[in-house]
Amino acid sequence: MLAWRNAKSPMYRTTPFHLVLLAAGSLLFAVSIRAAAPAAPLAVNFGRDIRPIFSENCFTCHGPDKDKRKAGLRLDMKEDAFKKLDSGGFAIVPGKPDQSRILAVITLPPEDDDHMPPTKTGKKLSTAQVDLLRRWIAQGAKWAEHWSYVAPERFAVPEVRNKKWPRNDVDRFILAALEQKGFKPNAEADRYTLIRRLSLDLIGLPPTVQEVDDFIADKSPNAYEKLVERLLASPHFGERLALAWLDQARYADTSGYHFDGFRQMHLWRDWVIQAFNDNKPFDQFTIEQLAGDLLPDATIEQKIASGFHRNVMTNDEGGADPEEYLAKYVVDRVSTTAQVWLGTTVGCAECHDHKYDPISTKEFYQFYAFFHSVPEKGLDGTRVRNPAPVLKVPSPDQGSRLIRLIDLIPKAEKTLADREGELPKEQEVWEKELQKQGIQEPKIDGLVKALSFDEADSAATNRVAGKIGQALQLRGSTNEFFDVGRAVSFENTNAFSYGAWVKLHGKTGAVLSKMEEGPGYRGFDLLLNDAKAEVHLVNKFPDNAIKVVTKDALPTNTWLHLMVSYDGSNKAGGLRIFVDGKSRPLDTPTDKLSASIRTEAPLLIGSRIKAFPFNGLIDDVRFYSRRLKSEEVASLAAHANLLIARIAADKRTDDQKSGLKDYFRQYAATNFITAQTRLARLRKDKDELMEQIPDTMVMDELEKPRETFIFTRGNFQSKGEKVSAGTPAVWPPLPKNQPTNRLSLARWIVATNQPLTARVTVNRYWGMLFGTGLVKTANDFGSQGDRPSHPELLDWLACELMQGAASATAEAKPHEWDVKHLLRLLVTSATYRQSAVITKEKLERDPYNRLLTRGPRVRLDAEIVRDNALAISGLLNAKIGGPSVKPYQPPGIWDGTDHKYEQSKGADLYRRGMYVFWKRAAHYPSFQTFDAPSRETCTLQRPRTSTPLQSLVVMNDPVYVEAARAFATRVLQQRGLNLEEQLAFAFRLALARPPEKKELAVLEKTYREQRANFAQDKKAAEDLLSVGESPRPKDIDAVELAAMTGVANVLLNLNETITR
Amino acid sequence: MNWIEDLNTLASRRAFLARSSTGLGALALGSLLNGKLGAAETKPSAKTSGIIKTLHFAPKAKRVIYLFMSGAPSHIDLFDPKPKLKELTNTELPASVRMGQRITGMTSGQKQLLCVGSPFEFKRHGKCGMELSELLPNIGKIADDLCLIRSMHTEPINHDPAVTFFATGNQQPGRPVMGSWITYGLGSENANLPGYIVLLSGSGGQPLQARYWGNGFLPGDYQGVQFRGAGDAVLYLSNPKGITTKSRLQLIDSMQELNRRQLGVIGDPDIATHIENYELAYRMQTSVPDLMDISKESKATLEAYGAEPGKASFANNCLLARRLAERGVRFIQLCHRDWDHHSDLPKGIRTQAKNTDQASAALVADLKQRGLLDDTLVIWGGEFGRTSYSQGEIKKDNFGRDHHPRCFSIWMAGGGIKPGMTYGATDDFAYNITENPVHVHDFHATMMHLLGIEHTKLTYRFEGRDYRLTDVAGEVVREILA
Repeated sequence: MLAWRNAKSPMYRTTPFHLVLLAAGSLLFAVSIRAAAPAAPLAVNFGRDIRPIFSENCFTCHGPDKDKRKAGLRLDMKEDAFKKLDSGGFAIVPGKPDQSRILAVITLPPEDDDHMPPTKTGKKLSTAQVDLLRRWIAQGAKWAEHWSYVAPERFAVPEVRNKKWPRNDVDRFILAALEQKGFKPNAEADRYTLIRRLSLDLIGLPPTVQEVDDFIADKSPNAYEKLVERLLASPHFGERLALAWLDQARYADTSGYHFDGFRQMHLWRDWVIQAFNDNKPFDQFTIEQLAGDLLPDATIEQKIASGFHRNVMTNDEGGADPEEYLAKYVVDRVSTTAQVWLGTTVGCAECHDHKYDPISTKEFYQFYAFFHSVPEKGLDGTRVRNPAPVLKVPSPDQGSRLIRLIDLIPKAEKTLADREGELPKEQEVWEKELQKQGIQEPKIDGLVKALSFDEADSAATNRVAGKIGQALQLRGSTNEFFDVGRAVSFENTNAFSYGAWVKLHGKTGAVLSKMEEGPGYRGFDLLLNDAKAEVHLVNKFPDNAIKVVTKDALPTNTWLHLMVSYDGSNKAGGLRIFVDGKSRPLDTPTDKLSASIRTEAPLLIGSRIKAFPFNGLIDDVRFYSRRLKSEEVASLAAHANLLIARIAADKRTDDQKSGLKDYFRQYAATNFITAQTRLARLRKDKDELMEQIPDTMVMDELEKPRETFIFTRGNFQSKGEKVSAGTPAVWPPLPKNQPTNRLSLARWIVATNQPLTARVTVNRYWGMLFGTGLVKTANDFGSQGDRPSHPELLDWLACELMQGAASATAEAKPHEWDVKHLLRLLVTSATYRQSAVITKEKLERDPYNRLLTRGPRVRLDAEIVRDNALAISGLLNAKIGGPSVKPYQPPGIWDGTDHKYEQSKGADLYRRGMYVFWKRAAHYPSFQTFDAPSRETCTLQRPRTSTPLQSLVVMNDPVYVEAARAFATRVLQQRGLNLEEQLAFAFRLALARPPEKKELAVLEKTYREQRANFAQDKKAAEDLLSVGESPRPKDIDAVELAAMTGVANVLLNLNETITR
Repeated sequence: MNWIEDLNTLASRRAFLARSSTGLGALALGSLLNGKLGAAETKPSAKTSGIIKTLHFAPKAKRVIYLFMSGAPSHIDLFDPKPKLKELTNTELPASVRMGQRITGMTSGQKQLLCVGSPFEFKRHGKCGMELSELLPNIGKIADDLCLIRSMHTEPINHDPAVTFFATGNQQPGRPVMGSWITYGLGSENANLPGYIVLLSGSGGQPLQARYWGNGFLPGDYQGVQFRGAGDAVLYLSNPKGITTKSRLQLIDSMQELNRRQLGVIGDPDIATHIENYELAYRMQTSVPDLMDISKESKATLEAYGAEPGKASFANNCLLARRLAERGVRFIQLCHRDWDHHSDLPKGIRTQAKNTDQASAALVADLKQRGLLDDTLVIWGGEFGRTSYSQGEIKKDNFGRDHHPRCFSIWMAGGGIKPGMTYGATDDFAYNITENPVHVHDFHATMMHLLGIEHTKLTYRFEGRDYRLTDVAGEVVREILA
C-alpha cells in the first residue's frame, strides 16, 4: 500500500490494512470486502454487453479510423458491420453464429495468425465475452446506436414496492434499482446533517448556528423545502455553481505558457456568478459564452460572456512560431467545447481519425474552423495585460468621468494651439524685458573646472559655433581629441559631478575621460555607446568598478545636456545620469566598486586613451566637487539656452535660435505653459482612468475569416485539404438557412435534438451533489466511457432540464433549461436526503455508492475547505466578485517563475477561495494540495485524494492557524457560557450538530492539556496568537485564548469538518 | 491476524509509538502491514506498492535521480566535440546540413547562419576514452561510470513545449511527468516520504513551471512534492509558532479520537484514510527536518559536493538527492536553471558548468561508494541542444547559440546502464544525427525498462483512452543496457 494513495481508488478499499483500521476504530465488520459478482443477463443487450467488447478490443483496427482499418471491417457502424468483408465472407450473420467470421477468428487458438484480437495487442476475450457474442448473434444480432448518440427519451417513471419512501420521481428510479438488487435505502439524515450538507452543496458555506437553530425549530412540513429555496436564492449560490464552471472554462489569472504573464478575466467570472444567480437558462448561458459577441445587438454583458473561450492559455515565448500557437488555441477551444457540452473527447482526431468514436480528422478541422477566425495573435505579445481583442468595461462613475475628459481634452488642445500662436509676439516682449534686466548666472557652488571652448580654451583646434559661443568639433578619429592634461582629481569616496553639452553625429564615443588604458581602466569617464550614455568609475575593471548605462538610447544630431552626479557611496545607486536636466533610468551591469579611482591619466575631451573617439560637438564641459541636486542640474541645462539671449539676434545660429525659443517656451511663456500643463493633466487623468477601467478578453471575428486546412498528423506546418466549418456527421446537422458560424454552432449545441448536451449537464450536477455522476466518466460519453448507472433516470432528467418539469403546475412552471429547477429536484429527493451511514453490506456490494444505497458523503473542494474554515472562524469576507486577491502564501512559491508575489492586505486576505489569484505555473499551494487543477486545460472532474500533505495544510498553514485563533476568539467572546457550553458552541460552529458527551470530553481534555502547556510557557501562547494579520482582542487572556485555539485547531482538522 | 501483537512489536521499535494503543500507535500499524517501515527497513522486492503489482522484468534500477538542466546546455561545448566546426567558424552553415529544417523566430530573420566552433578544448577521459569538454573536469573523472548519449533528439523547438515533452512525452500540458508515472507504477519504498520529490536551484534564464513535476491526469498523490532549501522543507511542515511537539501530539491525539468515533458511526473508509494521513504527517514532521539537515555530513562529503549547509544550491540539492535515494524515494528530480545561452555563451556556460560539474560528479561517486549506484539511475540533461551556428554576431569570446531539437546529448549512470559508453553520433556540425538516434520516447522506454516496467503496459485510462508516458511510440535502446 502506497502512503500517498487516492482514497477513492479501488485498491484502497480492499487492502487488509483498512480492515484493521476499521477494527481499531471499533467498527464491527472487519471482514473481507469483495466486489459483487454481476448476475448473468438473459437477453443480450447490444449497448450494454456487446459494444463495450468491440470498443475495447476491436475498434483500434475495425473502428472509425479509416487509415488503421483492417480487412474492410468496421464495427462501430451498423451498415459497415454487416457488410461483406474484403475476403468475401461476413463478420456477422444474424442468427447464424457458425457462419459469422467474427466468431471463427476469436475462437482460433492464440498461436494462429488469424486469431483475434491479435496476441501482440495484449488484448484477450474472456470465455464469457465469447459466449456473449455467440448468444448475441444467435439471438439475431440486434444493433443499437451508441446510447449517448440517440436523443434522450422521457422514460416512464418505474413502479416501486415501497410507496412511502419516494419524495419525487428521481427517487422512484433510484428505488426501483435498489429494490431490484435487494437494497433498502438509508433513513433520512438528521436535520443537522441535512442543513450542513445542503448549505455546503448549494452555497459552498456552512450554516450559521442561528440558521441551524431556526431549521431545527421549524416544525412546518415544508421546512426543508423552505431551506432549499432560501439557499437557491442566496447570492452565494452563483459563486458555488461558478466554482465548478471555472474549472471547465480553465479560468486563470495568468497566461499559462512559458512566461505565464498576468491577465484579468474577473469581469467574465462576475458574469458567470450573476448568470447562475439570475438562473439564466442553460441554453442562453451556453449561447452567450460561445457566441455572445455574434448575437444581434450584443449587449456588453453578452460580449463579456463570450470571454469563455479566451480563457485558453496563450504564449509569448521568444522565437516561438505564432502559427503553431494560434493552432494550439483553436485546438483547445475545440476540445473544451466538445468536453464541456458534448462529453466527448475529440482531441485524438487532431492527428488521426478517432479510434473509438465516429469523429474523423476532417470533422475535427471542420469544427476547428468555427473558432479559427478570432482576431488574436499566435504570440500574444504581452506579459502584463490582456491580449486583444479586449473590451473595456467602465463602471457608471468611470463612464461619466471618461465622457467629461473626452469632452475637455479637445477644448484644452484648442486653447494650447491658440497660446502657441501668440508665442512669437510674446517672446519679443520677453526678450526686450530680459535685455533690460540682464541675464543672471545660476548660483551653483563647487565648480572646479570649466571648459567653454570660447577664448580660454582656444588651444583646442577645430572650434565651431557651439551651444553657447564656440564648441569643440571632433570627427571620430583616434588622434583627434583635446588633452586638458592634469586637471581634476576625484576619488571613489568623493561626491562629484561632471558633464557637458554634446551634439552627437555618430553613435559612439567618449565625451570625456580621465582613465588609464586597459586592462585596468582606472579612472572615470562619460561616453556614448550605441547612443546610450555610459559611465564607468573604475579601480580595476570589471572586478572593482561601477558601470551604469541609460536604459534608452539618446537622440543624435541634436544638442543634449549630459551631467553625471555621484555621491561617493561606492554604489551604482549613488550615481545618476541626467539628460537635458532629467535623471534617466539606468541599467547597472557592474556594481562592485570599493577602492580608489584616482589616476594620473590626463583628462581627455572627446576620447578615451586610444579608444572611443567622439564624432560631433562638445561644449561647456564642467566639473563640480560635489553632488549636484536635480534642480541644479535642471537649471544648468536650462540656463545655457537662456545665455543665448546675450548674442545679438542677427548673429544667432539656427541651433541657438531654437535653443532660446525652447527656453522661452519651457520657462517664461506663462500662458502657454499653463495651457500646456492643463492639457497634460487632462490627458494624464484620462490615461489613468483608462488604466483603472478593467478590461476583459472577448471573442470577435476577423472580417476576412482565416482559411482552415487539415493539419496532417496534427502538424501545423503540414497543411492538407482545405475545409470549411461544420459539425460531425454522427450528430444532427446544423440548422439550415443560418450562417455557418459560432452562433449557429452554439445554437446547435443546445438544440433539443442534440443528444448529449442535456445529459452531460445533468450528469455534471448530479456529480456535484452526489460525488460521482450517473455516468462516472463525466468527460467521456463516447464508446470508451462508462455506461450510466441509471440510464433511464439520466434521460428523464435530461428531458426535465430541456423541457421543464413534466409535473409543472401553472403557478410554479419552471422554464426550459432551468438549472435551479434541476437542482431543486435533486436536493429535495429522498435519495439526497438519506443518511450517509455505511453498513457492512452496502460497503461490500455498493462500495462507491453508485446505486445510492446511502446519502452522499464527499470531501469538500479545495476552495471550500478554506472558505469553510474562514466562515467558522468569522474571518470570512463574503464580498462577491471583483479582481482576484493574493492571500498569504509561503515565500518562494513563485520563485521559479520570475514573478514577485505581492500579498494582499486586510479584508482581501479573507475572500473566498474562488477569488484567489490563479497562477497556472505556480498554483496557490494549499489548493494544489487539495486537488484543485492548475486550469491549464479544461477539467471536468477533480480527483479527490487524501494525503498527509493535506493534513499539514490544515494543521499548520497560517490561514488555518489564524482561523483557529479567530474561531477561539469568537467562542470566548460568547457571554455567560461556562467551559462546557463554550466547547459545545465551538463544536456546533464547526459541525452544526451538538457534540456527544464523549466528544465534549475529548474537547475538554484538549482544552485543559493546552491550557496547562501554555500556562507554563506564556511566550508560546503569545507566539501562537501572533500568527496572521488580523488583530486579536487584548481583553482575552493569552493562555486561555491559545488553549482554545488548540481546541479550534482540532475541530478544523476533523474529517467531518472537511467533509459534507 | 493479531494486530494487537503487531502493534506491540511496532511500539517497541519506535519511541513515539510507545503511547497508548488508542493514540497514534494504533494507526502506524497500517504501515507495518504494508511493509513500509521507514528508511532503515526498506528492502528490495520485485513486488511493488504501485499499480504494477509484479514488475514486468527484473529491475536493474529501483529509483531515479533526474538532474534536469533547464534551458538546454550546449552539447557542442560540453559533450560533442567537433574540430571541423571550429575550422568552419564564420562560414555559412551549408544548406545540405540544414536541409531547410525549421529554426526559431530568434534566428530565422538572421541574414547569415554562421558556424561557430566551441572555444573549449575536449580531452579523453577514463579507460573508455570518453571525450568531454574542459568545462567538465569532474564529470571527466567519472567517465567510466557514464553512458553518454550524443544522439538524443526531440520534437519541439521552444522551451516550454520541449520541457513538457521531455517530462511527459507530449508537448501540450495536461499529461503526467515521468516521476508521476513511475511512482504511479511502482509506489514508494518509504512510507515516511513522498515517492516523488523535486528540488530547485539556480535563478534567471527560463522559468520553471509547476507542471514540470505535475501529475497531469493522474491523481494528485503522484505529483512531485517540492522540497525547499529555505523555510519549511515541505510546505507547512513546521508547527505554528507556539505549538510544541508535545502540544502537536496531544492535538493530533484528540483529532484522531474524534475521527475514530465518527468512523464508528458512519463507517466511511475515507475517515480511516484521513486518520492514517495525520499519522503520516506527524512522521514527516519528525523525519523530514532530519533528512534535510546536511550539516551532519562529514566535512569530506560536503567538500566533495561543494555543499554548504544552510545555503540553497545545486550542490546541496545533489547531496540531498543522495540522502533521499538512501531513504528509498522513488523519483528525485533536481531542476537547475539558466542554461539558455542565446548570447554570451562562453561566459554563461562556463558559469553553469562550474555550478554543476563538481556536484553532479560527486553525486555519482558518492552513490557508487555507498553501493547505491547499482540500483539508482542518474540522468543528466536538458530539453534540447543548441545550434552550431551563432545567434547574433560572432565576436572574440562572445557568441550565442539558438535552440536545436535535432540532436543533443545527455548522460546517464548506474541503475543497469552500460558504463563507460558513448552512444550515437552526429555529423561534423553536431546538427544532424548520423548514428543510433534516440528519441525522447525511446529514452523514456529505456528508463522504464531499467525500472522493470514494459513501457507499453503502464497505462492510465483518461477521457476514453489508455495513455502512457511513451504515447504511441518508444523503443528500448538495448545497446546501452549493461
